[in-house]
Amino acid sequence: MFRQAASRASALARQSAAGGQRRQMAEAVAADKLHFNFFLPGGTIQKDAAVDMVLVPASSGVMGILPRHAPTVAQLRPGVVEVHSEGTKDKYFVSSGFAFVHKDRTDVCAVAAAPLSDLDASAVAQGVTDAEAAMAAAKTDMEKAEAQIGLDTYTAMRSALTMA
Amino acid sequence: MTSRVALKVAMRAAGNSPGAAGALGASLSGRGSLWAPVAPAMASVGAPRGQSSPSAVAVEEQVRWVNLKVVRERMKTVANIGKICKAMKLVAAAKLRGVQSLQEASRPFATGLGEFFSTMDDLEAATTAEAAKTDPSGEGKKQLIIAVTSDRGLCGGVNAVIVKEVKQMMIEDAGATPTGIMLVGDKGREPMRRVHGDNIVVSFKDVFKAPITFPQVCMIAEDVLARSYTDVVLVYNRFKSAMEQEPVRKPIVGLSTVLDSASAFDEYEFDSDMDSAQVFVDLFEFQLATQLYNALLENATSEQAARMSAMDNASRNSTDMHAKLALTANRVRQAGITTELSEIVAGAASVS
Repeated sequence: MFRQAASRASALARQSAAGGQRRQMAEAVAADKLHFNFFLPGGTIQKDAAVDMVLVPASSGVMGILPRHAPTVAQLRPGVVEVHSEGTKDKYFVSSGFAFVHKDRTDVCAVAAAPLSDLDASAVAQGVTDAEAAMAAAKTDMEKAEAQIGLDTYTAMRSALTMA
Repeated sequence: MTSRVALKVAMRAAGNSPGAAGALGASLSGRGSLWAPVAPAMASVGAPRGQSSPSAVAVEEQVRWVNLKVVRERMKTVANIGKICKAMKLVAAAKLRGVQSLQEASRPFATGLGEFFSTMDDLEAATTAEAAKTDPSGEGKKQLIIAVTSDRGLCGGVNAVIVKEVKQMMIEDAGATPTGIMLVGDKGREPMRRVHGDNIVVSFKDVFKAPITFPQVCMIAEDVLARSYTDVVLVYNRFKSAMEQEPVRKPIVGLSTVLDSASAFDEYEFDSDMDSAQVFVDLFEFQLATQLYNALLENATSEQAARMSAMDNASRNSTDMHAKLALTANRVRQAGITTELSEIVAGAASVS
């Protein structure tokens, strides 16, 4: 799982390195922007924002959403949502949730999200160690599954931080 | 002197009626007339002596002073209760602000998801009508009613209307479908247990003790999913305004229906590394938790709003009652002074 996430993350790195290509694509649709909403159960991060592109950590890999994307429902895994707007990149770590690409707008409904800069690297490292210990100590399937979720989330956070 | 006569009449009338203490209690709600709450109070003190002693004057004197004391004690009680009600009102107002802002913050999240499912609702209405035609008996259905109430009382009628609504649903259904009741919040348990005790499958308490969080709701949602009901109906108070809350029934379409009407989402691509049916299941679970979260927040807001207005009414009632009691106390005191004066005058006249 970690390897998968890491490969996804490195894929993400390559993608951002090839910025020139993307810029061309963005220019092609410069006339219109992506109508973007980012919702949490306890609040709203962005509402009716006009952005250039959004990268979401879909369960099958990082998905880039540009204006006029085909309608899609994507389940999110722990990872980074990147919002590109006017040359600035806002990065948020999300735990899970769904992204809905509608014809006229894109909604990201996450269970929990935090700006990537708010994550504490040492706390994340500690979390990975704890999750690994819990994984080793888990006996039943239920415990194993719970530990796996914790481990996945923490490793995703760690790789997100090393990427940043 | 007229007030003295009136007092006597009231005493005699009330002396025969039992339950003076009950009248005292009832008068707390501010329903009693000016004399009704006070007269029995006097009777409870004065009547037994009046019956045992033949000396009318002596009794009256005792009654007069004790009575004034009783009235003053009641005034103090009413004032204290009024203070408590006022404090509760202020607390409810503060809590209402907090929970209302939370609810408003969560609204876009729920609507964002709800709008996606609304495409299905249109289609679902058609399919259920069809399903009802082919399967009028509704066999194989299992219904779960999730009744959302508050954990604490003294909040007007918000819990009573929920209980009423659920009972009404049970009557309408008339035992046609096996129904389970899930109680979220503690105040629905006692009234529901008496009538539909067998239907209650689980009850959660202290849900609203701390502000509601999404993970907490997920736990409840998980419990709902584990029970495999085909239909789930949420019953809760919808917050319309600080003065108005209304009970609503919100049916949540079952998983089987979602899977059946998957064609509604044909225009959407499903991005997943598993099969798309699994995404549907996950999406359904997410939707259930979101609806539940929304319902709990609505009900929590309604509860605080209802408590605020109930306590506002109660503190206003206590002010009214205090004023009435003050009038009574003054009259009684005045009557006492008048009696004393006439006694002194009569005594002086008999001596000279």
